[in-house]
Amino acid sequence: MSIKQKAKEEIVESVSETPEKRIANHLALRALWVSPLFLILSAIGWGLGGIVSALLALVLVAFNFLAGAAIITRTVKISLNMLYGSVLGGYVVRLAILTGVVMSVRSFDWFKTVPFAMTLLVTHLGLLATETRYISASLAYPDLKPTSSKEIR
Amino acid sequence: MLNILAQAATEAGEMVEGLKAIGAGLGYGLAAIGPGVGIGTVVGNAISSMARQPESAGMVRTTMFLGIAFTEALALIGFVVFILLLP
Repeated sequence: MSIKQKAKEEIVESVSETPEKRIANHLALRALWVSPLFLILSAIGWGLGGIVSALLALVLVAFNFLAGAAIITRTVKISLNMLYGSVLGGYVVRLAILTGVVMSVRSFDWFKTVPFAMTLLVTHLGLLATETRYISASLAYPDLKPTSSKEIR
Repeated sequence: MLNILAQAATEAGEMVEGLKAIGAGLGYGLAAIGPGVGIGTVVGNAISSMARQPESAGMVRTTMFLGIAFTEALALIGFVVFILLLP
């Protein structure tokens, strides 16, 4: 076995667990928890259209995190070059999907730009900022901090 | 005379709308360049780390994922400005 193959196997072995997937799932779950706050605020300010727009923004934020994690999880097993290309390509594709979805719904009467934009930005940045509190990023716990005694290795 | 002035005013209004659309598109495109460079830097350095120290790959991937997501927020700001500017 060549050194290159051995190194590749070591990488695959050490990252067989999927830290980014766990973080993305955690982020999506927490987006679900904070959703009532944004939906109520949008309902107060913009009515039913605001609720639907805020909901669309929440779905897009969760999709963005999950798709980003899925791309890394799938491609890191293939090669590091593939990871680089896919992450950069995935960034463009995810932005294109976001733009496509919004451009296709913005002509509808129910779509309200302000609650959508507010929810999209605040949720994305807010979730990420608070997620840093839950991240361990150590060799023993590469993703989230252990929450119960069962998780302590 | 009044007809000519009214027509000129309508055309100016249309031109303003068109320029707004061009500005919004240009702004979004320019706003997406910076995060693209940023994500390239984040992933490039993460790959270097994983190649040098395979045992720390899980930790590096966590940091990389968060770095990508934070950098992407800049593109989202550009996107929000784009949809707010669109006529």
